[in-house]
Amino acid sequence: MKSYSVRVVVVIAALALVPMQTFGQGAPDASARSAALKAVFSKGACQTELAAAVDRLQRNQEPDNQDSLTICAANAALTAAAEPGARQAVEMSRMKQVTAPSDAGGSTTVAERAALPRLLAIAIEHGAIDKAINGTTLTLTGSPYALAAAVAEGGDSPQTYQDYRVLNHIAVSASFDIGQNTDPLDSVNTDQLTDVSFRVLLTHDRSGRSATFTKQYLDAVIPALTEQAEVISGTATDILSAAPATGLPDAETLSFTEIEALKDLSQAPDTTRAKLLDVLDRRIVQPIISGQIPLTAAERTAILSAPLKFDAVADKVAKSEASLGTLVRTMGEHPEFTASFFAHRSGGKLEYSGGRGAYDQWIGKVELTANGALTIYDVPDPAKNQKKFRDVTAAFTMAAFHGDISPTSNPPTVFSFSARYQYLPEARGTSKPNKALAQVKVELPLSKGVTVPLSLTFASSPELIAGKEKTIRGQIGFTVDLDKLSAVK
Amino acid sequence: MTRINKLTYKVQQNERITLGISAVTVSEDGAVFAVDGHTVAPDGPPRSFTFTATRPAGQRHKGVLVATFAGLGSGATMARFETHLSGDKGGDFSGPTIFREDIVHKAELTFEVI
Repeated sequence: MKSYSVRVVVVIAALALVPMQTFGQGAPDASARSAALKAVFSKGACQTELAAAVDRLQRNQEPDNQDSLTICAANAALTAAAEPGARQAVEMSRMKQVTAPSDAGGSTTVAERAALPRLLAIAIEHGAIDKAINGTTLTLTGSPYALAAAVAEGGDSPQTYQDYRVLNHIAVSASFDIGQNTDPLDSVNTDQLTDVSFRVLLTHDRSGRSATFTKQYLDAVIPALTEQAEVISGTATDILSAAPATGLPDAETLSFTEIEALKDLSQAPDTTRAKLLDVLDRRIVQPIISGQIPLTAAERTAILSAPLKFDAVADKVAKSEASLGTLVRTMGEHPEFTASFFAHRSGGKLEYSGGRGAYDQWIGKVELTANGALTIYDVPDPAKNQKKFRDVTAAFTMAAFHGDISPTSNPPTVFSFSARYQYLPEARGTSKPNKALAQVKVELPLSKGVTVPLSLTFASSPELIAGKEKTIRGQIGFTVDLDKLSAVK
Repeated sequence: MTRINKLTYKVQQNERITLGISAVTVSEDGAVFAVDGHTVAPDGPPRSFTFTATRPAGQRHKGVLVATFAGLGSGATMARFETHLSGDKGGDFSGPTIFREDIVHKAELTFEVI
C-alpha cells in the first residue's frame, strides 16, 4: 500500500508538469476527448456525480454538483492530453483504490416497523398530537415526549430525545365516534369518546433515535460527512476560487447554465447524459486542451488528484452509512414488548376495559407479531349473559416481505398469515364462546404507491367475517399510498 | 447578497452569510457544511451555518453542504433538506434542496465576492 501511494504521487506530478503548449500541438481529437470523458465518468465518484446530475435533470431539478462535474471534466482534459502511458498509470492506480459506491441510503425499514417508535415519529412530525380518521372514527395519538420536546430548549433534538427517554417509551391514544362530520376536530367532545389506550414500551428503544443509534451516527457518519464536505470544498477552492477572468470558474458558470437548461426535456437518460457530457466537453475539456483556459501547475496537480480524493471520502461516507444501516437492522431484530391498558365506552359510559401485551420482532424480512388481551366489564348486564370477565383474545401474524423494501423502489410483495382466537363466555347460548379466525393474504405491488391485496379468510363463526352463513370469504382490494404516489414523477 | 442561480451567489467582502437548513421528516443533525476546506460549526436549532466572506473581490468561496438520510425508515420517502441563504448586507433566497431520492446527498455552493 505504501509503495502504491508513492507511485500515484509520482504519476500525478509527472502529469502536472506536462507543458501547456503541448496541448495545442497534436491536441487530442474529439474521439480521444470522448474516450477520456468516458473513462473519467465511468468509475468511482465521478461516475456517481454524473449519474446524480442526470437523475436530477430527469426529475426537473438542477444538478447540485457543478463543482464536482467541472473538476472531473477538467481531469478528463488533462488525462486526454497526457502521454498514454502516464494516463494508463493513473487509471490503473484509480482502479486499485476505488471502491464502488455503495447504496448510500442505508434505509432500514425494520426499525420503523415497531409500533411505538412509529407512533412517536408521527406525533413528532405533526406536533404533539396526530390525528387519523378511519371511516367514522377519529383517532388522536400522542406521546408525553412530544409535549416535552415542544417546550424543551432546543426542541426535538437528539439531546432532548435522550434527556426525556423515559417519556418516549409511552404513547397514548383516544378514539372518537364522529359520525359523518367532515370537520371533526371542531366539534369533537368527550361524549363521542369510544376508546382510550395507554401504552408502555417495556424493551429498549430500537428506533433510529435510540442512544445506540445516535452514538454510531455521531461517531461514524457525521465525521465522514464532515470530511467529505471539507475535501470537496477544499479541492473546489484550490481549482475554482480564482477570479473568473482566469477561465475555469467562468467556464464552470457557463456550463452550469447550459446544464440547467437540460431540465425536464422528457428525454431518455442516455440522451441527457450525452448532452451533459457534450456541454462539459465544449465548456471545460476543449478550452483546457486548447490552452484557452490556462491552468497553473498547482491547479493541474489538484485536478489530477481530485477524483482519488473524492473516491476516498465517498467510500468513507458509504461505509459509515452502511454500518449504520447494519446497526439499525440488528437493533430491529431485537424483540419488542409493549404493555397497554385500554378502555372502551359505549353510550357515554365505560363498557369494558382491559390489558394487552404485544410482541413484535423481525427475523430477516419476516415480521412476527403476537398479542394477547383480557377484558372485564365495568357493569355486567345479566340480561345479556354478561359477567365481570368479558373475554380473552390472542392473535398472531407472520408477514414475509419479498423484494426491495427501500423507499425509492416499488413496494415489496407481502405474504402474510394471521390467526386470532377469542373466548367470549357471554356468546354461549346464542353462538359459540370459542371463536377463531385465520387469514392468508398477499399484497401485490402494481407500482410505487399502489398495491392490490388479495385475502382468504376462514372463521369459526359467520359473524366474525360479517357473513350471514358462510365461514369462508375471499376479498380483493386496492390500496393507494398517496405519499408514495405523489413522489412518482 | 444577490443570487445568480440556486447554487451561485454574489456577496460583498466581509459580508456574513448564513445557510439555513429546514429538515423535513429527517434529523437536521444530518447536515454538515464546509467552506474552502474548513468545517463551519452549526448553530441552532433550527440548524444554520454562518461564515464571513473574506476573500478579495473577484474571488470565490466554495461551500459544500453534505447531508445523510442513513437509518431513516422506508416510510419517509419525501424526506429532504431544504435550504435558504441570507447575507447580513441584504438578500434572502431559497437555496438548493437535497432530496432523499437523490443519488448524491450534497449541494455545492459558490459565493463570488464583489
